[in-house]
Amino acid sequence: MSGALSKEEIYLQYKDKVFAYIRNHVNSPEDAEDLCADVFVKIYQKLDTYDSSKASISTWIYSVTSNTVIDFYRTNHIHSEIPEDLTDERSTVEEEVLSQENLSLLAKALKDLPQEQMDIIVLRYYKGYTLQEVAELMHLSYGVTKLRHREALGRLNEMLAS
Amino acid sequence: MNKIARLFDYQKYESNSELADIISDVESRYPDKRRALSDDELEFVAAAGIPDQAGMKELRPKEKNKAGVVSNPIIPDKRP
Repeated sequence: MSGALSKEEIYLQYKDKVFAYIRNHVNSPEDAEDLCADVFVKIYQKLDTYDSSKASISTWIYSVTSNTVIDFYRTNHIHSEIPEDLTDERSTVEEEVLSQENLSLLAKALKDLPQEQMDIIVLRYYKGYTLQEVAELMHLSYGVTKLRHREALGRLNEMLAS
Repeated sequence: MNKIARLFDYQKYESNSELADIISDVESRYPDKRRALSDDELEFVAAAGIPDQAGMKELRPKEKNKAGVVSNPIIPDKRP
């Protein structure tokens, strides 16, 4: 259990992050508010099971939030599929990847890419466009976009692994 | 989901400033033309997701593209 933060402190410290994340994934503000409340109910219920040796509390809260959004999609069958940027794997192994340090590394790695490749990656993985939509936005053929995308991923994974 | 996708998803929660600057830069060059349908517009979308164009046109102001052609694009927001 987190002895450092009380439930109220956790709420005050993380409510904005949680809500911003949910709002990024859910269209309706009302649904977002409901989900945000659900997240904190779960956090409070599971706080005794939180293990600080496995992940920071911020990353743990992120996992609870992400899983709550996934459950929301499953329950409501919205668009009949879970968005690609969410996973239905509840693996905690990924949590070691999720850190400010790795976000900074990703930023540096993106800056080292040719602009076209950087744009493809951001449009694909942050904005959630399909490669077809990215190709249309960037006035490129689908084939070229797919190739640049593959090149960019290869370079990024290389840079992030080193 | 790959590591890159997971990190971008985490960015929506943690908001690293360096990465946010890069994203803002890309967004400024490719404005998001997608938008969510309003509740009024949703009334004209059938369960199969097929919009009633006539009904929706009455709700939306006419828009002109750069060529001056009036259009009424209805682009459902694919983002969750």
